[in-house]
Amino acid sequence: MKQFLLIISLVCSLTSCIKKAPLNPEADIETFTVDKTFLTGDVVIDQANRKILLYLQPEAYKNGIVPKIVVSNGATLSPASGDSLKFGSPISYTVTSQSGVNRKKYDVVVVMVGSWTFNFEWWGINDPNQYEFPYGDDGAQVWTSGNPGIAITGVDKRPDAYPMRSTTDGYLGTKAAEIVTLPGNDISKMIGIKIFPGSLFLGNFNSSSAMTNPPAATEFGQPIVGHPVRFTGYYKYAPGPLFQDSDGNTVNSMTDRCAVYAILFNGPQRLNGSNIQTANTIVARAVLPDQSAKSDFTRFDIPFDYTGGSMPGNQLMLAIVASSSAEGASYRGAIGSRLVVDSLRIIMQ
Amino acid sequence: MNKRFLLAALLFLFTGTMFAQDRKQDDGSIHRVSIGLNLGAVTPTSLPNTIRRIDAYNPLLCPSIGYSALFAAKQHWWIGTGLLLDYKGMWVKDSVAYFHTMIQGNNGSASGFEGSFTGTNTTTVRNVYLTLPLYAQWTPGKNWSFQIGGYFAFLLRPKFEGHVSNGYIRNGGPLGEKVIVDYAEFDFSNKIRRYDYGLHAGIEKSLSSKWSASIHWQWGLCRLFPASFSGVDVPLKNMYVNVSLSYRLPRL
Repeated sequence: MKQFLLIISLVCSLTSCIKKAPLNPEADIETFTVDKTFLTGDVVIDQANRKILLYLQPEAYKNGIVPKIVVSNGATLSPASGDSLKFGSPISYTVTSQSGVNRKKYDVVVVMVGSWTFNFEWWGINDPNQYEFPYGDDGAQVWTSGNPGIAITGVDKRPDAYPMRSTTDGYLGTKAAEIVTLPGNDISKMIGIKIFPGSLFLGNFNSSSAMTNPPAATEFGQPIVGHPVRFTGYYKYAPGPLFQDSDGNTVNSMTDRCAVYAILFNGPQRLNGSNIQTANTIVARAVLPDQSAKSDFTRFDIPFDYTGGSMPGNQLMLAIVASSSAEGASYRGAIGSRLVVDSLRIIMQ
Repeated sequence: MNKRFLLAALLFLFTGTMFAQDRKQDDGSIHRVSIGLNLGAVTPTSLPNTIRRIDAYNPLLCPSIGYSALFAAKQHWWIGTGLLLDYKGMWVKDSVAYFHTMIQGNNGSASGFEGSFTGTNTTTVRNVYLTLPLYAQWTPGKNWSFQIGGYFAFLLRPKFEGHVSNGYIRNGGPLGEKVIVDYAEFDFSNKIRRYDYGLHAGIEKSLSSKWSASIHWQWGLCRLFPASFSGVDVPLKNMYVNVSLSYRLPRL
């Protein structure tokens, strides 16, 4: 009885000193809704780089849009949700948290893929996490990778601590994209991830599902106008010495393979790691058939295969995906596998 | 593992008994063995506003087995000491909001997660200490004694683990990108300080010539984790009440 009373008094003494709830310190743009008929691809809120990426039909770009915006609970937005946006000059939104202390500025970027040739000569760097990402040849930010997800596990803040980065070991001696499979770290192992497979893809990385459903975090595809017929480029590949399964056990009978492919599909909804091979919106595929080691840059030229695909609609999107471990989505691969891709090109009819 | 501790405990009792039986007890010293329970929590002295609710709490079964010796000092006053094998634990489920955490990787690597967590936290603590109390005891009458002093404790076996669920983290802090967390485990056992010290205060009632019952507080003054560790960004301390029964060892 005495003990029971003690427990009660302890619990009471603990609960009785719960303090007043803190004011919400968060300042997110949570949703940014635009009428789908104005879009060529779904709006992307790039939380890591604080950008609103818009993929607009030409008419919408010319006439402007009226977005509906939801921000963190209690936060205020300027300019307000429901104000119309005219394009032509830089646009940004500022969110102020309920606590008043925190402010976050989002730049609005209208993304138009003007050129489907990618030479990987221009690279940007994410602040504060210090991972690299390539710009398209026309300056558009259309490529991303698994790097933003790996940043969450707190790897060292330097470009070569991430699996996808620039290299000067490119085709014709210029820059190229280097994709390597790295060992996981202590934090990733806490959530069961033993390797960081390298990836590079056209699309967006959605950090919010990086832990609960990693395949859904990789949102593939950018709007495309026209009729792609071939996917060409250069690559070289060296698989790492020991292939391991998702539990980190070595599988001697396996050698790591790379994956390079382009998928054309009906938008505006992007595909992700769980349906990129199987979605019924897929229109055509161009898949690199030889996934084995190549010590020198090797050219590929793959025709798009339209057989068995859906009919192309008027909101086509294209995803290009390159990975240093073909089974990386299920965290199977060899540490040290290295893929370099350069001069990727989509040839239109 | 448990067997080893049981063995250690038995060894205490045995050596305690031997000690008690060996020495000449005409100096008026009293030697006792005790068995009891520790009830309490590792907790900050004041909960930060990032802890929104204690959803559930269980003190767990935390035994305390020990030997104590009292040496007469002057009339009504004694000096007490001893050795106790103390289990100090708890199980708690709480709701937190914007709780800052920084988890460094092992083996001194620079990698680490820093951010804030909002959601449900469940923690199990079960540390085993070897406690050395030192206190002054005042026995004004026949039945009641009062103790005040301190203790020093060595950590024999740490356990501080749990999981976070139904929430999200923000990379770097409240302005970082949101990452939904369904379930993620943590284990900070090897970050716990190897020692603890604090205040000791007790009340004891003798039940017969051999038996007595006591309650004593062990109020930790030392942070459970060193200040350099910020996985749990509040200064947790051991706050325990020990309820025990003591048996006075017979004179030879």
